[in-house]
Formats: sequence, C-alpha cells, structure tokens
Amino acid sequence: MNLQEMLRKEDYDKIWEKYCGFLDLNIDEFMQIQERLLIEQIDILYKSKIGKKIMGEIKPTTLSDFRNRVPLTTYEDYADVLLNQKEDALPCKTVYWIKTTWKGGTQDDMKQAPYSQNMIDEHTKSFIATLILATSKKKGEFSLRAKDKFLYGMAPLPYLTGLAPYVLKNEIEFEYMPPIKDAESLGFRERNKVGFELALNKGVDLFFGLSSVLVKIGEEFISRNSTREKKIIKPKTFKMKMKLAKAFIKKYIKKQPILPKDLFNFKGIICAGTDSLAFRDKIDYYFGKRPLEIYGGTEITTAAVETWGHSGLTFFPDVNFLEFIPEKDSIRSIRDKNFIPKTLLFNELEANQKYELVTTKFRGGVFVRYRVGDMIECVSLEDKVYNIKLPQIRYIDRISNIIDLAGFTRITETTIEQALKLSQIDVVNWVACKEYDKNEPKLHIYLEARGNLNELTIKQKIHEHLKQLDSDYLNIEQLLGRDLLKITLLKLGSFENYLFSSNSLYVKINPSRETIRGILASSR
Amino acid sequence: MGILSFLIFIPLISAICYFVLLLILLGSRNNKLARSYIYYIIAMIIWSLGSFLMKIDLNHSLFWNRILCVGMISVPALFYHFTLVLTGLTNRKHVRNLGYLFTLGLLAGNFLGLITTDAYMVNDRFYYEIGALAPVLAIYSIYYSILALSNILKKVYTNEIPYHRVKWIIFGITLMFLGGLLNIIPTIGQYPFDIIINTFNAIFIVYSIYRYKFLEIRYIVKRGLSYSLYTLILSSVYIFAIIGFQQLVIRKIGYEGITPTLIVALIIVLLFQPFIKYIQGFIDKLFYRETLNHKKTLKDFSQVINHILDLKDLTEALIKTINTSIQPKAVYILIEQENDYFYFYNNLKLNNPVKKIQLKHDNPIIKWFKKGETLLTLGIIENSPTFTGLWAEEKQLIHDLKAELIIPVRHREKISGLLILSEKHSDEAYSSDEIDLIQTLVNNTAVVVENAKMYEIAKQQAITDGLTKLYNHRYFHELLNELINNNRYGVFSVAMIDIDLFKFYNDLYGHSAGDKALVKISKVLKENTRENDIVVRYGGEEFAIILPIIHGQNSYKAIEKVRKAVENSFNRVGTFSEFITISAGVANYPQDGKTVESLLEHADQAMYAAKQSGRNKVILFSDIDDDVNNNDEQLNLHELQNSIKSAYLSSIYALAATIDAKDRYTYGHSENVSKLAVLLAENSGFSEKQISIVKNAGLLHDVGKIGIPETILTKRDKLTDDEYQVMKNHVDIAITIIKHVPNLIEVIPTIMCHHERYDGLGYPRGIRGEHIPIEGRCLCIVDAFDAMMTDRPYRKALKIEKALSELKENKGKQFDPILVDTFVSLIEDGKLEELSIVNRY
Repeated sequence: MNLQEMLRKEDYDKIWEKYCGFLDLNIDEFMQIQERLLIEQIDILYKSKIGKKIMGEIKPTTLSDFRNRVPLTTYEDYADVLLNQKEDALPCKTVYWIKTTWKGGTQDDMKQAPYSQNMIDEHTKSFIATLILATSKKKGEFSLRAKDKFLYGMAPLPYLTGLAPYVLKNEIEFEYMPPIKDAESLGFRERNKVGFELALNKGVDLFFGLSSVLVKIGEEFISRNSTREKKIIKPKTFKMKMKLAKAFIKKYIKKQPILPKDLFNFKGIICAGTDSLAFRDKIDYYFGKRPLEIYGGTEITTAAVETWGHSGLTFFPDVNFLEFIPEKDSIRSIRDKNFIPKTLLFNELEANQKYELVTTKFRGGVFVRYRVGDMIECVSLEDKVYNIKLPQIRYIDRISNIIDLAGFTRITETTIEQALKLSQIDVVNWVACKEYDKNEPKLHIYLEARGNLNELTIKQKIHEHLKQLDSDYLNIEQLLGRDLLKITLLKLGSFENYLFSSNSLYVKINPSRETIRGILASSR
Repeated sequence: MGILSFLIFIPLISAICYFVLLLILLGSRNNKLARSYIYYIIAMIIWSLGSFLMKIDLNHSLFWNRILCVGMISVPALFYHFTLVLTGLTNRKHVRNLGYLFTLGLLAGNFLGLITTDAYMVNDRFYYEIGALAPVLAIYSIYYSILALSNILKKVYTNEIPYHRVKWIIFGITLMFLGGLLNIIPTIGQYPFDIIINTFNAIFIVYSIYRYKFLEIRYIVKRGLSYSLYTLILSSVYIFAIIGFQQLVIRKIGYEGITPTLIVALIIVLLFQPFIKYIQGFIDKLFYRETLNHKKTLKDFSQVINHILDLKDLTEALIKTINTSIQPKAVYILIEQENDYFYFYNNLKLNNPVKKIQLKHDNPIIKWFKKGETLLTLGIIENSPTFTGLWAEEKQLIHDLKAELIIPVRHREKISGLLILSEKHSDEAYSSDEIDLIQTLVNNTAVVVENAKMYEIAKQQAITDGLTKLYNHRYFHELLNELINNNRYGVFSVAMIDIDLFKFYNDLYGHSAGDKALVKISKVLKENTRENDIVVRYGGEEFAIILPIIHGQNSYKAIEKVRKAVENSFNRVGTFSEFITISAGVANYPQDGKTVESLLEHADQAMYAAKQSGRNKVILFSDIDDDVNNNDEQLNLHELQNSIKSAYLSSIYALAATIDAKDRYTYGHSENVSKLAVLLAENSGFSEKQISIVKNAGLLHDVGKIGIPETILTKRDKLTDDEYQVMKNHVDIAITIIKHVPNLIEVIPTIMCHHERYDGLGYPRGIRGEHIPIEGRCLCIVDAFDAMMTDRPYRKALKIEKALSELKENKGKQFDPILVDTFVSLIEDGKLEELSIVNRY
C-alpha cells in the first residue's frame, strides 16, 4: 500500500510508524539495524569487482573485522569505475547515475554515484519521512496530504535533489510548481521565479530548496512591495483571494509591510544546504515557518533529518553505516597524509564534540568507509524534550580544507590560488576561512600583497576572477544577489612575523581562530 | 386496526435498526468511510422516524412528512458520497457537489411545499399529495442510485475491488433503486416498501463492512449488534403476532378486552420457544459462524494430534487443519533445527524455491518473537522500525511467500518454529477469531512439535553417523534393500569410496586431525552430490554414495567430480601439505548386480581396482570387466605406469642429490642420513617395511629445499628468525613433491617428522614423544648426527665423541632416549666404519 492509499484510509498512525518510527528506536536497536545491514552490504558488495578492490580479497565477516581490514576511502578510490560508469564492476544494476560537482578531481569536475533500485526505495522512504516531519508540529501528527502544492526549488536530475519528484510518483501525488516537465527546461533562477509566481496565484503547501534561495525570495518580495513594482497577481483559489484581501487590508489600511507569510501558509519547508542554520531565523521571519533541515549528499543520499523540535538532526538507521572521526584526528589526517585516523561508531559519540563523517552505503551502494568530507557536531546524546533516544547532530560544514558558501559552491585552496594568480596581484601570502557576519556566511581572505592596491581594488579583482573560475560562485551573485567575499589586507611581513613569533605552521584554508588572531596581531 | 395500521411499525423498526447501525459505526474507527456512512445513516433515521411519526401524530402529519422528506432528499447525495469514499474515486467530486447542490435546492423546495402539498390519514389509509418537485426528486434519487452503483461496478470491473467483497452492497443498491421505482406506483407507494428495502440495504452494507473488514468493529459493538438483531427479530415476531391476533379477535368477536390477547401472547411465547434456538443459531451463524466452526476444528485437531509423533505427520496435520478451517492460499512451517537455523520444514508447494531459505536467530522476525510477541502481520513488518534491518533477500522472501501472518510455535519460552500464512483465498483479512484459532492450534501443537522433534532427532540419530552427520551403515543397507525390493528408481548407482592412505594421515597429523578430515570430506561429498543422492559413512575411512536414476558413464562422471573436489579441497589448504585423496568404485543397478550383496561386492571390487592402480581414481565395475578381457592391454598399462613411476623416482633422488651438492658442506648428506637411518633401524627392531621407509625417507628428507631461496640455503652466517621460518617450509615442500609418487606416499610421515622434537618443541606440528612416528624419531637422530659431523661456514665439524655427547645431552629433549642409546652404542662399537659414508669424518 503506498502513502497516498494510506492517507486516503487515514491510517495516520501507521504512516507515522512506517516512515518516522525510527525516531522511537533506542541506541541499541539503532546499532542492531546498522550492524545487520552492514553485513548484508558487505555480502552484496563483496560479489562485485569494486567491492573486492576496496575491501580486499578476503571478505570481512564481522563488524570489527570490517573496521580493521577495510581502509578509509575517498572518491578517488572509486573514480575510475564510477566516472567511466563501469556497470560490470558494480554490485547492483544502476537505475540512476546521480551527479554532483567535484572540485577534487584532476580532470573531471563531476562526481557520479550509481543508485540501485533498493537505494532508491530507501531514499524515497527517507524523503517521505522528511516531508512528514516538515509538516508535523508534534510526534505523530502531521498535515501532509496528497495533491499538496509543492514549490520545488531544487536542481533537477541528474542531481540528487531532482530525484525526489520521480521516485515520489509511485507513492504520492503532488502538484509541483512549476510542473516537473516544465521545471527541467528552466534554469535555476527561472524555475524558482515561475514556481513562486504560481504559488502566489494558487497558494502553496510545501517548499524544498536551498535556504539561501528562500531568504532571497523573501527579500525580493519585500523589495518589490516597497518599490511599488506592479505585478498582477491573479489568485485562482478562494483561499488565496481571501489571503490577498487580508494582505491588502494590512498594507493599505493598517499600513504595515506585507511579508510572504501573509500570502502563504506553508505546511512544511525543507531546506538543505550548508548554511541552513544561519538562514533559518530569516526564513521564519519571512514565511512564518521554521524550515526543517535535512542532511544528505550524492554519495550518502538522505542521511539525517531534523524533527519538529528543531533541536538537532537524527540519522536514519538504514541508509548508511555510520562512523565518525574525531575533529582533531580529522584535521591531523588532512595535514599529515600518513596518519590514519581511527573511527568511532554512532553509539560512541560524545555530546558537543565535532566529527568528520565516514559512511558505508547500504542497499547495494558502492561507497565503503567513505570520507564524505562533512563535519558534524553531536549536540546531545538524546533529545529529552521530545523523547528521541538517539544522538542529535548538526551539520557544521565541509571538512576544513573546503569552504562551502550557502550551499552553492565549494571553494578550495586551488581555486583561490588561481584567482590570485589571474588577478595579477603580487601576493606574498594568504589564508582564507569561512566566517559569519550577521548570520551570513562569508569567504574571508586575509592576504599580504606588494604594491599600492587598496583593499577594495584587490577585492574586486579577486571577486571577478573567482566568478570566472567558478560558475557556482558566480551564481551566488546572480541568483542570490549576495556578495560573500571579504578581504583583509595585511601589512607586509605579517605572515613572516607570525611564523617567527608563534613558531608554528598554518594551513591556508580554515586555519584556527588562534592563527587568524595571531596573524592579525602580527599585522598590527 | 387494519394491516396498514400495524405497518406503521415498520418505519419504527427500521429506525431502531438504523440506530443500531449508528452505534456500530460510532464504535468503529473514526475515518472517512465511517463518517460518510454515519451521515447516510442519520439521513435514514430522519426518514424512518419522520415516516413513523407522520402516521402516529396525525395532527401534524404534513410536518412529519416534510421531515421524512429531509431524510429522503439527503439520502442520494450522501449515499453517492459514501460510494466515492468506499471506492477511493477522487475524480467525481463535482458530481458529488452537484448532488449536494440539488439536495439543498430540494430541501428548500420541500419546506416551500413543492414536494408534498398535503398528508393525511383516512380510514387507516394514508394519503399524501405530491408537489411539483416530487418527480424531480424521484428522478434525482434514481439517477444518483445508478451513479452510486456504477462507482462500485467500475471498481469491480477493473478488478480493483473483488466482487465478493461488495456483492451485498451492489445487491442493496439494486434493491434501493427498485424501492425508489415502487414509489412511482401509488398503490404500492402507500406502503413503506421503500423503507423496508432501505433497511435491508443498510443491513447489507453493515454486514459487508463487518464481514470484509472495511472498518474495524470493536468486539463489544459486535456483541451488541448480535443481541440487538436477536431482540429485533423476536420483538417483531411478537408484535406482529399479538397485534394480528388482537385485530382478529376484534373483527370476528368484537371483543376489545386485553385478556385474550395476554393469553394468546403467553401461548405464542411458549409456542415460539423452540424457534428461539433457531433464531439464536441463525444470528450466531451470521456473526460467529467462524467461532462455531473453530470449536469443531479445535476438537478434531486435538483428537488427531494425540496420535501423532512424527514431525512430518504433525506438520501435515496442522497445515491440513488450517487449510480447511481458514483457507489461506499457502501455509508454511519453519522448524528450528540443530544448528539454530529455522528451515522450511514442510509446505504445500514443494517445488517452490523459497523453501531453501532459512532464518537465523538474529533475524528481526525471530527476535520479535523472542521478545514475547505472539503475532506478526505483514503490516507490522512493513511499518514497524523493528524490521528496518531486514535484508532485501528476506524482504523478497516475505514477498514471495505472500506472508500475511506469522505465528510462533512457542514451547515454554523457546521459539521452536514459525507458522507462516499467506493471504486467504477469499482475499479477506484474517479476523481476530481466526487468529485466535490459529494461535490455539499452534499452542496445542507446540508441545507435540517439541516431542516430535525429539523423536525426529532420535530417529535421525539412529540412522546418522555421529561424527560426519552423514547417514550410517545401517541406514545404507536398509535403504539399498528398499530400493532394490521396491525397484524405486529403476536404475541407480552405488559408489564405494575409500580415503587413500588414511592411516598415514592419522599417523602424521594425529587422530583428531583425522576426524576433522573425515568431517571435511563428508562436507565435500555432500556439496558435490545432487540433492537426492544419499551420502553415507560406511565405516572407518569408507564412504558410500547412492545415486538414484543414473548409470553408466554418468555415474562415473558424477563420482569423478566428487574425487576431484576432494583432491582440490585438500590441496587448497595452506598450512600443511595435506594429501588426502579418495579412490572409488562404482557399480550400477541392475546391470552390475541385482542384489544388495552383489552390487556392494562389485562396487568394492572396483574400488580395490582403483586402489591397486595407483589410488586417487574412480573405476566403474563394468570397466574392470573390460580390463579383465584385455589382459594384455592391462599388462602394458601396468608396465607403462611402472616405468613412469621409476622415472619420476629417479628424478626425485637426483633432485635430492643435487640439493646436497649445492655446496660442499651438505654434499652427500641425504645419502649418509639414509645409510645411518638403516643402521639404526636394523638395530632397533624395525620391520623390513620400516627399514625401507627410513632408507627412502633419508634420501628424500631434504628434497623440499628445492623451494628454499639459495641465499638462505647457502648462507654462511647464522639464519635470522625470518630466514629460519622460510627454511622450515622445506618439510612441507618435500611432501608436496613426494605425494605425487604413489609408491612413496608411505615415507611422508617420516619426512614430515624429521624436525619434530621428542619434547614437542620441534616443527612443523610440534608433536611430542610417541606421537612422533618411530621412523621420524630415527631420522631426526641420524640427520642431526650427520649435520654435526659436517663442516659449517661458522664452525668446524664436531668430533665423533662431541657429537655423541650432544646426542646424549639431548636425550629426551630433542631425541628419542632409547634410539639415542642404541645409536650411540652402535657408533661406539665402530659400526660407522662399516658404512661407506660420503664427505665426512
């Protein structure tokens, strides 16, 4: 029985149990599921060429055997098979090849991951759980219904975010805005624009997109109001007509500004993207609904989801086998390539500690002990308020050698080096890190340069070349209208002084706060 | 009071019926279906009560008539709405909304007097005058009844709803439609046929809802419903009988007193008493039919299982009972077996591939029951997070089995089996009564299952070899007799299999390793034979296989496959150079023998022929006959084989000598060891065969050094630990070389042991004392002696006295004390001079 039939029968308790029942598991039950599915996955994967390549000729039979014997992997370990789509090396038949950008590749700038039917089924289940949780105010109660109007702001296939409408088709019918067929022929900006116009006319129940995009929509809505730009809204439903009338009263009689929440009554907002946490207050302000954050990726699918209490994300037990590298070991392993960090299991996490995530994809996936490149924080070992007996996590950021901006782009050391080179600035030394300014993420480059260029000129030059080099970075300006670059020009000799006084080396990307303070102090 | 006057009770009875139905629905789960039906029932109550009150409260007949019309007008759209919810049709909401619009219009028209203009009673006869909108109402009602019917028929036509689940609803709607038509005929329309018919329709619907689980009805409501129906039938009968009699008395006698009525009432009650039982029976049958059948089922089953001890019979009886009483499409029984797996013990579809799938104890399904749960449904498996850990393969199994219901066979706290039921033939859901029955049946079975399992195990043990778990000698003979006496297969083959040189294997590795080898061989035999082949441990190191429906070259091929599998499986072992092979003789029934004795004798003969012709081979009895007939060829073959062996042997000896000759220190070592070993053996009471063994073993003991890197072999300094580990491998390598020469296999244990120490600190196996074959202990002493007498890069050769003193010092440590004493005295007696020792002394 699919979700729509269950909704028709009003089997709400069963729906909750089926999709969100994992929230009632305790840590032991969670681990039992993890271990059991890991054994299944080893068995499936071991029969394939790629499995033997990664795991070695001797099949691991127990969890400890697996962790002792199988090395930690990165995309490079799979690149040959996956980028060439070598089906015969895979454990299962691929139904979809899902792609994403990859800045780590030497030739290709895309990563590809094969999705088997079982993986898709599992992804569908987790995505439905996300939709249910997004529309829930408390445990067991949710307002998701068939034919809800769904403003779908995410990238289409072959990106993972574009998979959901296809896989949800067999489970539940939504009115996508714009319709999926139209959406695929539209660009990112256009798609969101058309979707939003439709939402204004018909009303909207659900949103799934980047949090930064939703904030942008909110800001544009207000600016359009204030500039008195005339856009004819033709509400098609009685409900929307009433809302428009109320908004009219608010604006012209009460003389108050209209916010999107005056016109929309979202049942649920689902946000993905690195800086969801930073944007969520703004979304709440504009849309009157706190967004529900999900965490996932091409290699790991939908891995974790927030709940109605917004107190942290909970991992799905049946999507990936989870291991965690403590933060200090993760940083050490980035700096020292010979250092092999040890992992912890989900039941070994400690509250308020940060970890790098390592996953093994279940259900016939290919990634084994895969370093996803994401840092998470365990915010608590359980959610006592809402009685979730599993560790609650937050997605923090990419691992420290990558700077992710608003979920749009990932800036690496190479990108910045190239931009500096192209801008022909005589740079002596530099470091870059991600910082937050009034809840907005910023790429902050601290640099020391010869010549008479001022900070503003340097910034303009670097900004222009970053846009040339990285189309995603360009999108931040074009789509969000945001300037996320910040430059601090340091006195000549600052880095040398810092090295001399601190006698310690530093990394170029995301050095520690102490290092930044030290460099700034040396500049003074 | 005429017949019409007591017909006025019909609407009242209908209203009571509807109230009961309302009660049921309020007692069921509150969902869309229940709600939509409740509105319909409320409209029917208004209709019925309006009709009743219209005829009772004659002063306000018109008013009540209009109330009646409220119900009548509301019914079509509400009923149409109900069918939409029932069928799940979502694209006809506009028709529903139009219906409601019509309803509103007609309701307005009703209170404006456009449906009925007047209603009154004249001479017990009720009259009403219809208004302008009445035909519209009639057409609208009929039209919506047809639409409602089409909603259901459409779903039946497309097979989305099985006909039998909605047949009563279809029947009810048809009646409703006819009832509506009857109203058009005024002479009939004055009677409350429409209400009677609608009441039946409502009962049919509620019966369908109950019977086919459209709604879950609580037990208490079910009881209430059955009692209500019982009371309703009885009351109706009494009321009609008594009022009818009273009318008769008034008409015929003119007496209006109550006494005769009371007397008649009493008589009726008494007369009717026997029928009460039948009415109760009818209602019980309607609501508790299953329960009644279940009692009988349980009784019959209890009687049956009391006489059963055999697990197969028991499971068959259980399956049969469940099939008869519940009628599922399939029943499967999984029984826990010795190795803690749950296997499909029995099912109706023996060819079904899923029977091979097994559940382990850590399976979430088994764990679920271990937690004390008594029932598992497909819904729970699909929805509960407990089953998130199920493997895709296990989910597929549940899907393949169409498992709807799983019930544990629990004996005390232990889960000893599982009963899996697929969906029912009728596609209906399992009722709680049926589940109760199955659980009771299973509970009754549990103890018997446990006993039957014990009996089964005992039976199995009686025919099973304890070590290898293969069938034993006794079963083999029983089965063979049965096969021949009953001519069960027409043709079959018997293979007698003997492990080659198993005695040496035991000597070499010990009896514990020998047992392990037997178990391993058994496994290989099982894995490399067909499912129906019977593999038997005949005794000691002998096995037998019965291969049904196979003969001639096919039987040869089948056993040759087994032989190769044994050879490969032992060759693959890395730690030691195990050298187990088998020889087999095959005889075919009936051409090689028509009795058990002749068949076995011929298979044995073929096996001995295989042994004699070099072992590790399979020979068909029929081929021996050919060989006998071709003696010359046999002779030539034998000669050829001997010459090959001889050539091989010479090569190995040459090889050994070459290794010795690699450096000047070891030159002649093997030959010296051989001679010294013979000297010691002859003076220690060894048999001729043992002397021959030590002689050959001496010559060949270092042949394995061919596989050791020359840098290690000729190293002038002392070996490092790692190099020493490499050097130790020469023993294994020696055996790998020698085992291919059939006549030299007997020297293997001796070579294998020439570095074992008496105190157990030697290699490769670290065996001690008497566990080391005496030939090996002998070789160990003479090998060490010759080595001490040789110059080494790091030391000069020891003098004889010093070498002998070393031997004596290590008596009981490295060397066998008795053999050392013998050897020392032999040397001291000057026997060494009598030997032509090379490159020494």
